[in-house]
Amino acid sequence: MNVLSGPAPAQAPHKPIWPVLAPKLVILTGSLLFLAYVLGPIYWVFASSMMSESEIVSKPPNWVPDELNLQNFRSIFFYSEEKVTYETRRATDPTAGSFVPSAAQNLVPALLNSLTVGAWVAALNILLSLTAAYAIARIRFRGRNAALYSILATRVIPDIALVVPLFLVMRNLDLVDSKLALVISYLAITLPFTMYILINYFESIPVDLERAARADGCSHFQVLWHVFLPIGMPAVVASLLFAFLSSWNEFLLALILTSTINGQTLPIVISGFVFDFTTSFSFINAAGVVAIIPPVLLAILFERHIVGGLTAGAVKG
Amino acid sequence: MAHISCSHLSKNFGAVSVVRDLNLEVHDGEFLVLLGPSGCGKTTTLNIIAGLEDLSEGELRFDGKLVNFVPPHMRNIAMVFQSYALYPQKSVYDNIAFGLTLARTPRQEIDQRVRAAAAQLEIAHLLDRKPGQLSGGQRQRVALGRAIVRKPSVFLMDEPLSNLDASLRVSTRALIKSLHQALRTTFVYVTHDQAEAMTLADRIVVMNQGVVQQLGTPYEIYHAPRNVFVAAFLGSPQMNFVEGSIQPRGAALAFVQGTLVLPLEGDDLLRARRQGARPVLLGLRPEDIDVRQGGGGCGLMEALITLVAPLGSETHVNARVGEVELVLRLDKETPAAVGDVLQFSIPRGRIHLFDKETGIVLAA
Repeated sequence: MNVLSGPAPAQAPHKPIWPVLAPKLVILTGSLLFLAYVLGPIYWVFASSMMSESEIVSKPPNWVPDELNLQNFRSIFFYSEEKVTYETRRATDPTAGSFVPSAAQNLVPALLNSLTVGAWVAALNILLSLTAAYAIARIRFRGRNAALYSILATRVIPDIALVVPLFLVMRNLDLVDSKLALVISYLAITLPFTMYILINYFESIPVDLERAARADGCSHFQVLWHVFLPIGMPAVVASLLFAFLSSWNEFLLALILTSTINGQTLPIVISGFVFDFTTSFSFINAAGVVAIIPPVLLAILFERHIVGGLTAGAVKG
Repeated sequence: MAHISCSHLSKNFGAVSVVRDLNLEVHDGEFLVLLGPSGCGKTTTLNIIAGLEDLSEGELRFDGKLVNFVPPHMRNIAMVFQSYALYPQKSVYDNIAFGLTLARTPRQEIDQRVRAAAAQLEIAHLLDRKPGQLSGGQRQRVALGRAIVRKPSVFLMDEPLSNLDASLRVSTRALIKSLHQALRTTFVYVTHDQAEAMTLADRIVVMNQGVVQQLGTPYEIYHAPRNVFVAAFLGSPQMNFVEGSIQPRGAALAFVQGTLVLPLEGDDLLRARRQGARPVLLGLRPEDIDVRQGGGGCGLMEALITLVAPLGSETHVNARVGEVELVLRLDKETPAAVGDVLQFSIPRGRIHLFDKETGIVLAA
């Protein structure tokens, strides 16, 4: 039964759809362009690492490899002595061949060096910055502010200014061309940042939580271990990633402080391929892929820890 | 249980003196409440007792043993905070068990004590939840459970009910009182809420600006305030204060303020004689003004009602006597309307006389 009476409601006037749709389209187009800008180079590195040289240099560009050529990766991980010489290079069509640079055998050792240095720098960073940040954030002691500001002040100095003094120090310590030299140098560079990240995070943790833990029977170290570390996990993971990635990507100090594969890291070895007489773009890009994968895996592994809101329910909001 | 002794205890933050020369004895099994407005130093005092703040001067003893430099985890205390301060990453069970785990208590005993405490606090069904999944009242019960499960010598509570709504506050207050009665452990409880202080305390310490204003039983604090601050801080509605002077009336003396004349008798007369001509402040609690009986005491007076505030169980009215505005408390049956004239009297011994200059009650 129709309970309504009276005239039927007037039909709503037809609304133009463009004023609603246009801003959304602009945002969508902008987002897609930005996505292409960010992901484009990464895609190109991956794609070209499996292309032949002729595909890479072809015009118009060949965006998708005709066939997946994994020869470069085989050369990196299963390096054989069939390296290209000047003579074989001359005898081959340079656009067809995938030349393996003479220093290709250094890639896997450099990868291991980078992983070793990165892991040590990250681990020592966490160990030192956690304790230092807790002390500075939570314990009132004489010289606290001076300690904080002097640590941060070290980061005002550009890295390039530190290269020569660091080299001299390492030479005097007989550490040049060693991984330890890189670990010490990278630690000095990254520690102030990771401390700063953790100090800020720790200062945001409610003071009552620390007090509750101390009243529950925790020493300062136990407060750090049982309360601050679990709650501060996002900052700890961010610091860990920062320290690892900084040392993974670092080039300048590694270039100065190392000279052989005994201490050289991936950026140094990969950059060396550019100067090889058998420059192969596909091989360099394959090496680039190898360099990208570990940090990406690390970020995926720790991604779930980099979330906010870990103090939800701790104190009255 | 523990006997706590604070002797000439002071705490300074730089140039700011937060607690000044505090002398206090908290007896074994006593429920002592530190009461005062924000910034009066009560929480700092509690933190000093807990060992969470170092003291600047003085001595703090637990059962006669100096604990000035003993860290909190070696004082056998348990603390409950206004903000609950639960460990967000731990379950309710683990929150309650945390102190016992640190103390390396056997796992079976931990389980037994946690479940007993949870049952006592009626949170046994919440043991697997995280603090973020609990309501405010449930969280505060977990915080209480975390404290009681450790069987400490001293319970320290820093405004534990302040974040709860009114009904939860009343039920949790009753819970805390029954806990004290069951455990008979020393409790030191900080609050700015006089109702909490009056209902919970064996004794109350009223503090202001870092100084103890008065220490006594709730009855003493309420009925015999030592100064104007204490008199004004306790009581709702607040005590009426009337500035005036002591003047001779026949053979006796009377408090006079305009048309308000209160003949003084008994102890009040003695106190007034000592005060001489110096100005005084008359304190009069609203419930001490008798509006039903015309006779006795200081005689019958009239007041014009200017404001009526019915609360259901009783009615508060503002009434004017000459230039003096008084707040009176009427029972719910007494009719009152703005513009009505009310007759009232003040029974003997119900007034408080303070020196206007010092604010201290006149000595007998």
